[in-house]
This record gives sequence, structure tokens and C-alpha cells, in this order.
Amino acid sequence: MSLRDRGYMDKILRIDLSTGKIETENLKENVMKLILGGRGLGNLIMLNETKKGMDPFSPENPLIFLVGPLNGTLAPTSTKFAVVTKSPLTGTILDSYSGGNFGMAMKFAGYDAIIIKGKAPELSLIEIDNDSVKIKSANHLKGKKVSETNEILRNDYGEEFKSVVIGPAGERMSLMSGIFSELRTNGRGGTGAVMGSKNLKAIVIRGTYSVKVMDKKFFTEMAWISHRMLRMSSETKRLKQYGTSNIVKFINVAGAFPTKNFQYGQFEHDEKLWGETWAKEYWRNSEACGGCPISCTKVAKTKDGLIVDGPEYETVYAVGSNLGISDQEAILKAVEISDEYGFDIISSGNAIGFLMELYEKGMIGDDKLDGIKPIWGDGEVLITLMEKIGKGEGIGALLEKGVKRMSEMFPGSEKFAMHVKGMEMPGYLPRASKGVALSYAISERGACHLHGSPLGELMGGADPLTIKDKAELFKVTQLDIAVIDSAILCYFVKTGITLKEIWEMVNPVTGFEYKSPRDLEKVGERVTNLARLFNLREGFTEKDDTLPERSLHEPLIEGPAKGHTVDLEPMKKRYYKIMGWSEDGIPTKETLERLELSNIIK
Amino acid sequence: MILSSGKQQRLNRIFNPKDGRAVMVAADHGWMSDPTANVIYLKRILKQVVDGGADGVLMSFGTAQRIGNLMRGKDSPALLIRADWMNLPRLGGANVSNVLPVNKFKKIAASRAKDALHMGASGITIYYFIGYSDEFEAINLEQAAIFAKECRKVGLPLIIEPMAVGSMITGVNIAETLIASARIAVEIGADALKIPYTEDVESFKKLVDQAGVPVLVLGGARSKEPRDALELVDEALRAGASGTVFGRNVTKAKDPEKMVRDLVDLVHNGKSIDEIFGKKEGFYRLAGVSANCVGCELCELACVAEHTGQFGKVHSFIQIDTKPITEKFPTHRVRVCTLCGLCVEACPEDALIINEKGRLQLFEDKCTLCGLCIEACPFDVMYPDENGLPLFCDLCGGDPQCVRWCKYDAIELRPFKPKTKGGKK
Repeated sequence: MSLRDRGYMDKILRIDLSTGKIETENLKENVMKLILGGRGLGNLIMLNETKKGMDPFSPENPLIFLVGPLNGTLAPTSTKFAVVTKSPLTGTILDSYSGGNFGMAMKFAGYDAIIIKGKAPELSLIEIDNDSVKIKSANHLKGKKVSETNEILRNDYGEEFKSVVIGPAGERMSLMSGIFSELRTNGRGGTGAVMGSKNLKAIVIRGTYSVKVMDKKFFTEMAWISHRMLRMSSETKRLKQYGTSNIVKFINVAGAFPTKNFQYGQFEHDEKLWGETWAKEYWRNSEACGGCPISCTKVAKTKDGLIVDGPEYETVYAVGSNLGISDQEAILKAVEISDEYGFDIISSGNAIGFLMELYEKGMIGDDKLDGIKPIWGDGEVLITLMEKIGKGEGIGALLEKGVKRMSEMFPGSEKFAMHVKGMEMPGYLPRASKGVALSYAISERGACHLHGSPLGELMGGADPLTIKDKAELFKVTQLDIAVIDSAILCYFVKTGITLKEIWEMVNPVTGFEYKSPRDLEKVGERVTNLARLFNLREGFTEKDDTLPERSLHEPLIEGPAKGHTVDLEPMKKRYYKIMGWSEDGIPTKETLERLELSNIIK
Repeated sequence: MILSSGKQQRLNRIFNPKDGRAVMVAADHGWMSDPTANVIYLKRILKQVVDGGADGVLMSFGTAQRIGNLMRGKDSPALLIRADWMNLPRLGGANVSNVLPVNKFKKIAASRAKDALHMGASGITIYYFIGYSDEFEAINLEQAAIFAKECRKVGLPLIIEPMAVGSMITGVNIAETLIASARIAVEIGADALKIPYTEDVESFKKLVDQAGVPVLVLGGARSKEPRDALELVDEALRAGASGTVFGRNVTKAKDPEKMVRDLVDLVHNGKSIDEIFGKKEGFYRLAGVSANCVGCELCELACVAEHTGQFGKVHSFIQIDTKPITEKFPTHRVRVCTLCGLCVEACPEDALIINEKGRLQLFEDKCTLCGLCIEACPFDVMYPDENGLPLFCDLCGGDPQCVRWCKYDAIELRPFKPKTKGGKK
């Protein structure tokens, strides 16, 4: 049986926007068994098909859309898709995921991967209708915000076509810009900027093929059990009821809720930012991505009738506690601005937090501030600054460069520039969660909570304040998620199922006969090593696996983690060791051979 | 196994001597997590549990003291005492609203075996945590061993509840860990186990076989669907389990008495799940409830999978339309075959009828492939196959998969009176 009958569409679509050339190729079975698909395939393509030192904005940088073998099936959350490219924000490999309905449509159109290279001569869109692929002018969409773009595409193509689009920020190649798929986003690392650099405004796609699996009956039974486990999990239930911000209070109690640019770990107005409060005061209804039994997307209605998606946990941290802001209306307005101009709210919130601390410390002159006084807690300031980031004007042009580039312009500010490898930090205070701290330092795309942060340590799974066993804890979480991202399912299936259930679903779909969940974990290890090899090739070293000075050397002044800093080095060394990497964090020859990677890497 | 007569006698109170099985209900949540309705109104719920015919109820010492009298009498359920206390639920994010969250995982012995015996208990239940840390496991083992010794002395059955917790428990090791912990618990001196389901029959069978004592499967958090919990028990029984200890799935159920009765039917009376839920009698049809739809489209996938064996959306007999969220709620519209009969009326050849079972039926030899039926469908859920014959919803032969997979109550089965029979009126 070919891969087409076993969970894959067995087709990679290659589009060169410079030449207009469109090609397809098949997958290689021996390779797919090693890396599954999704992130795994994306990482391999990046490693094998790009040259060292490639400019992320050059036409050669591939912008890759990927799905995996479980997408389009009855497996829970089967619409998730990946975008893999080289990040203009960090210079590392970048993989970013989104829900919505694009992933399923892409799979049904017959593709496991769409690799876009080149640069279109004018603003363009790609129209994919099963096997028909056309590059069309998108000049009529120039400068259009995300919802305007979606509306025009919907009118032109109808509901059957699903889309990914960029907003004005992406067109402008803002380093924080993302790719938007309906209500969901490939938010981090500047995927939108790469798309913008290719003069690509949107992709619309319709698919009418079906996914075939090796053993439909057995697979459906296993998928049913996974759905049942999600229904019977109290964690999933909370997510369903109160969205991702259901955890605000707990993270705050643990002293890990970043406040005022990570100076503190507790925010006095946590109650206002909590999911239960949003549910009571703002949320109108829930939405689910394709195939999802959770429906964590919450739709809010503001006092003046604005309909906004969210806010998510990361939002209420990034433009809430981290700025000392508890003004709910302002937070929802900020969400709307970032969703409309099309940029990442975590990075932009961080940049504003950094600006507020610069201002607090008197390190930035009024001449640069467009007459704005960026003080903690001011919702109006937030809205004004978000607008400016969206338009890339005035102080917004500085903010959208991100914290790392900003700090280079203000000597002495690197001490509190909260980023790793140029990626702004997500919403868990490293000093109060040592496993998370390690994951921020190591993650292949810079500070990231979705590449193995053992958030369980903040939920009772382990003592968050000890560094003991955290390397092991991070490793198992990281490999789990690498499999989820390659299969591809949503991160949140972790609230109800484990790698065991994913293994039980992957086998009857692919027929790969992985002997145990451990075999699948090895897939995750391969995928992780591929990303590591890419970053090493790009010149990143062990020294870049670090944290901001504030996390490493500034003792926390209050909360359960009072007096704590992050003792990173012992965790890091231990982690390298258990990954089979050298002391400098380089995968050894033996490790690559054990993982059977030597043969598939060019 | 040779047991002291005290132990044996009391085990007979818990496990029905006829089939060696038990339906237990756990009602010991109040002192470990915040008091939710099932804790506050336990007295009322307990009456229903007794009426439902549970073999036993697990309670804290204090609750047993307060309302244990509800279980007096020859045929009343046996009393189990939760003899230790732990704070795991308070470590998690779910309880921050009502109790002070804690950072350190603790477990203590809260009452002794002889106290439980004086209380009239037929056994005690204690935790055995594995996977969190070596130190914590050692404390657990030591406490369990002391309880085991006490229970032997006074002839009281000991039910150990192994729990694999901590972030290092992953899909790679969870089944193995539970199997190992079951065996360890038995070695310590457990007379029976209360343990989570490993979520597959094969590994749970291994667990039961290695344990060698009766194994009761627990339920965990409540599912909105009573069927979920019953399916889980059914699988565990197939693996050799001796019954269940269900807590929240009973005490938080809409109708706790019915839930206990269903469990008794499943565990003791040999009924299948289908028998418990019964087949829908009479005529029925589908109906979409658009306001409940969140747009997950699992119904479409399930429909296509059922009819083609593949996964896709084309020719799904249920269709979900989606409007932008900025428009008026509801965002989705559910389109299904409501057996409205317009297709039947449109057929000039009487090739399409609603038959005596209340289902659409096509006589292929009469069909001229004119397509008028498909055009007439007001919900656009009829399609031509490759030869032009109409494809339509067949209610999956009586078990509509869209209804089964939709857990948002967006598709319903409604009673239906066939208005046409054998073609045109």
C-alpha cells in the first residue's frame, strides 16, 4: 500500500513565486517513518534545502505549510497545521502552528506540504483547488486588514475555500507579523513577514479528496477513546469552559505570572484577567477548530459591541499583567488591533513592557515617544502603542523590531530585555518555574512555551522551584510535543491524552508499526535534533542557550519564589548529556547514528 | 488465597459473593478538593446511591460519622473509609477559587484501621502514589505497610489505590507504571485495588492478571455523557476487572440513582451498553440545533467515514455552514436530512420513497437519473454518485454517527411521523 492509502496524501507541492513554476513530488516512505510529517518534515526540508547564512527575507527562504498523517481524520484536533521557515526575528529555524480550517482543507486538497519559494513580482495570492494551482494578483488586497481580506476572499471564493492571510504588518515585513487562519494564528517569530517578503498576501484552498487510512475500524475505535479521555479530563473541561486564561489565578498563586516586564511574578488584579471572569462578563460563545472536542476559542463582546476572539492566557499576560494593565476593554481592543494588522501579541506586549521599563528608568527620551507617556497600567497607552505597531509608524517602528533589537539601542537595557535568541518571552516567569526556564533557554525558536515547557510543574506535577530532575522533565515534554507537532495535533490534546493514545492512533493510520510509544518518542527526538542541527549550522552555539540577565542574576523580590534566580548551567549540561549531545550542545555522531538521521541529512 | 475470617466476611459485604463483583461509589472528595455540589448535597445523593443498589460507598471518617447512618440495614451498601488524606487536587489549577493553593505534595494517615472498624466499616481505602519522586514514594510505601499490618491484625480488608502522578508520567510509561504499582500494592498487602483504567483492554488485562486480587476501576472526572463512563467500565470488565469505584461520574450525574442502576446492570446483570441505552423505538429523524454548534465538523468527518470508509467532507449528509464571528450569533448553521419528503414528492417515477421503517429508500431500477430529487432538497444534502444515482442520509442504519460524535448537542434525534408512504400522496 502506498502512503496515499495510509494517512498521507503522498504529495509535496512546490511553488516558485519568482518563476511561477509549480511542481509536485512524492514522499519517501523510509523518511516519513523516521520523522512522521509536519514539523519533522519541515525541519528536514529546512536543513537539506537551505544554505548556511541564508537571509530569512531572501527568495530562497522556503515558507512551508505542513500537515501530518492524523490531519483530516477523526483524531481529535485534526485541523492543526504548521508553518516552517527561517525566522527573521531570531535567525533560527521557526515552526509555528495554527488551528482554524486551513489545515484540513490543505490535506483534502491533496498535499502534505506546500513549499513556497521565490518572490512574486507583485502582491499575489495563491489559489489552490485540488490539483489546480494558480498564482494571481492580489493588488486589490494591498494594505487590507485581516478581516477585510477574509471578507473579500469569502465573497470571491465562497465558504468552501479556506484561507491563510497576512495583514498590513506582514506586508510591511514586520518582524512580529503572523499568518492568520480565520480565528487562529501562526503567531510567533515572524511567519507573516516571510510571507510578505514573498509578496504573498493570501492562500485560498479547497480540497475534495479524502484521507485513507490503513485500518479504518481500529483507528476509529482508538480515536473514539482519545475523544472520550478528553471528555473525561477535568483539565480539558476547564479549557472548554474558561479558555486558556482559566489558569491565570493558579499561575499567579505560584508567583509565575509575569508582571511589569518580568520584574514580579504576581499581579494584584489577577481576578480581572481570569477565565472565569471573562466568561461571566464578556464571552458570548465558543468556537472549535476542525475536529476539536475542546473548543477553547472564546468569542468576546465588548461593552461597545465589538466582537473579538479571546483573550487567551498569553494575551492577558502580555498586554495585561506584564504591563500592569487590568483594563479589560483595553485588552480586548489590543487583541482586535493585533488580529487586524496581523501581528503577534506576545512579542508586541513584551516590546511595550520593555518600553515602559525604559521609561520608568528614565532611559528613553521624550523626543522618541510621540508625546506618549508609557506608564505601567495605562490601557489608553496600550491601545495607542498597538495602533502604532500595526501601522509601523513613529515609536511603533521601534517597537516592532522586538526587544532584542530595541535593547541594542539603549545601552544597559539588555539586563531587562526579556528575550531568548531574539524571541520575546511567553507568560511564565522563569525564576518561579525552573523547568520552564530551561525550556526557554533551549527551545529551537527562542523563548517559547510550546516547545517543551513542562508547565505541569506549575500545576502540581513537580516542584517548580527546584532544578532537580528538570532536564529530564523538559526532555520528555519536548519530545512529546515534537510528536504532536509532527502528527499534527493541537498542543492542547495534552490536557487529556498522552503519547500512548497518539501511538494507538498513528499506527492504524500509517501502518508504520511503531512497537511502543517509545518508538514514537524517538521520532520526537529526531525532529528535535534536526532543528538543533539547523541552528548550529546557522552559527548558534551553546552560549545562545541562555536567559536574560534578569532571570539569571536578579533575585525575585516577592512571592513564593522570593530570592530565586535561575541556576541554568547545571540543568543545561544535564540536558545536553541526556540528549546525547556534547558539552557544547552538539549532537554527537553516535547520537545521529542511533537516531538513523545520518542517512537522511544532506 | 487464605484470608482471616474477618477479612473474608467483610470482603463478602463489598464483593457480591455470587459473581465476585462490586459497584462501589466514592464520595470522599470533600476533604481533598473544594466542596462542590456533590459534596455539599451528599446526603441527598447518598440516598439515591443506596436506592440504586450500590455495593458500597467510600467516605471520609467525618462524613461517615455524620451521614453513615443512611447506610444501616441488612441490604445497605458496605461502608469503606478513606483512611488517608492528600492534597493533590489542591496542587492543581482547578481549586484556586475556594481553598488555599499549596506547593508541596503531602499525604498523611488520617485515621487508623481500628477506628474504621469501630465505625462499622467493611474496609479502608488508601492511596499509593508512584512517579512523583523517590522520597514521596518511600513515604507512601511506609504508610501503606503500616495500614496493611493494622488491617491484618483487626481483620479489615485493605483496598489500595495506586495513582501514577507527576510530570514524569508520560504516554511512554503510564501503562507500565500502573501495572507495576498494582503489583507493588498487592505485595504490600492489598486485598483489592482501586485503580485508573489504562485506556486499553490489553494492558489493563495484564494489570489485572499480575495483580491477582480483585481490581476495581475508577472513573476520574465526570463526563457529560454517562455513556463514556459506562464504556470505560465495560472495557475494564472485558479485561477482567471485578467492578468499579465511581465517584464524580455518579455523584455529579444528573440522576445518580440511574447511573448506579446502569452500573449494576453492566457489572452484575450482564447487560451490554446497547441494552442499557436501548434502541430508539418508533420513527425518528435528525434535527440540527444550530445555536449549540461550535463548528468542529466532527459530524461531517464521521458521516463520510461511515459511508465511504475514508475521511473527508465531500458528500457528507450533514453540512455545517460557518459565518464570520462578527455576524450575529449563531455562527453556524447545521444542515441535515429532516426527512421532509420534498425529494420524494419531486420524483416523477416513484423511485424514491420513505419506507415502512421511516427511512428514505431508492428503487434503482425505477430511477432515471433525472436529478430532480437532488434539486428539491432544501438542505442540499443529497448528491449524485458517479452514475448519477442520488446519495442520501440513511441514518447509518439506526445509529447515526453524526449524533454519536457530536458532543455539543447540535444534532438531535426527534420523533417523526412519516407523512408519505410508497411515493406521492
